[in-house]
Amino acid sequence: MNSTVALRVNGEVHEVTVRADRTLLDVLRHDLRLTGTKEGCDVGECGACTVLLDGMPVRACLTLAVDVRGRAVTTIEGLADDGALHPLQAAFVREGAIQCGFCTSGMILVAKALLDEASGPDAEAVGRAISGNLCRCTGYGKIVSAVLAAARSAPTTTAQAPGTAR
Amino acid sequence: MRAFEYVEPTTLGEALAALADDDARALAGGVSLMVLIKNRLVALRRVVNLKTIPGLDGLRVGPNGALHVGPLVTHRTLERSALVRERWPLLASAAAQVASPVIRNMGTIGGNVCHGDPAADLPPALIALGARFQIATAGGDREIPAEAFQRDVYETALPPGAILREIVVPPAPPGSAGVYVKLQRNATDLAIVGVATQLALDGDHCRGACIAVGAAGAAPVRVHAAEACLAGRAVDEALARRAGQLAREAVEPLDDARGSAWYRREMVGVMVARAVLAAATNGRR
Repeated sequence: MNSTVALRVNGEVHEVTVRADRTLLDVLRHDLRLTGTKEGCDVGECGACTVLLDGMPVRACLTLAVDVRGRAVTTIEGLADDGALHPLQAAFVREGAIQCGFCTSGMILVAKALLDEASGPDAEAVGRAISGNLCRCTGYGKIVSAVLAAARSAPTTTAQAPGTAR
Repeated sequence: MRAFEYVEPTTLGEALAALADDDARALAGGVSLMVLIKNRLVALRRVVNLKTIPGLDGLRVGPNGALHVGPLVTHRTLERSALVRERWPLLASAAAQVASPVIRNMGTIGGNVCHGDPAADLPPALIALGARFQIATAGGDREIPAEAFQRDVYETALPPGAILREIVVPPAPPGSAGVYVKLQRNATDLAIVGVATQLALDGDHCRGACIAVGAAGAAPVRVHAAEACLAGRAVDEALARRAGQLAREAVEPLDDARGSAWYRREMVGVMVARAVLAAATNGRR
């Protein structure tokens, strides 16, 4: 049984007609061709499918597309501003925090949510925030460094400016 | 996934009517149900989204000091609530240890309780706090104590087609301290053993204790012998270890991928002792 739902993704509204059993992950990737969000385990454990729903990280693989009606979805594609990388994206590149890239979207979006609500997190807070996002390549060290670097480098990305004297 | 009908009720009555079908399931946060569906562990023809019913996500203190928690309150809300952390720290502690941060953003207390996973974190905490579950059924409301709610693996006392509408947690007397300790293989795993301890303290002196153990049997259990050994005594390491020993003898753990029955039994002894000591230490502060 199909229903038509208006999905607000990265600021744009898309009318999609989907079966109720389709996940947000599936619709993002296949209907909207936004393939930056990845399917890892499909059961909510790996974090590769993480997107922001009204700014809050959720597992797209465990979310029904029809259940998202009226809420704002942000995917990794929604971070760059007119081609300019988001400070988190730039930091990940600079710090060498990307190897195969499969975990990267989820990591960056979780980090964005963290920085949007916490000024100047420490390494432990970053580690806790990404504890549900698995990376098989990097050993997490450079991911944490990248998030900390982004927090230091771009006070305007956070709700309150982090103390630069840290 | 196989196709299913999807319903968005706006009242409990509509939801109850939609759930009257044998193959209908309620959807809360989705972190448990969606996994069941994907793993084909449940035959279902209809999903009833409870999130479209207003008023099921309230968190408030009632006139007699009890905490009233709507079933759709997320673990994230519970772990961050200043009210819950201050007055029912055991509940905040258990909610904070469910799975991972992103799962906690989505998962709900109602879902955690009704899913019936013996390793779930909130049921032992709710048992130790003496919580009562208000159930809405087509034939009227009823109340089931947390202690009697889970019957077996994935099997609860929730009647077919019913909805958990509210969880009521009694006020904790002054000097109460509670803690949830979880033994897990990694940061986001289900418990190998989970222990919820709520102590009524007068300084060092324990007036009474409620200890519930999860993941060490088909359902979480209160360990009465361990509770009794603490009553009227000052809690020290030796007494905590004694409580652990009594708990160890009282449980009937199962084998599964996260741990064998004998290992779980040993760990119940260890974790109950740790929980009792931690709660007593918290109470002193």
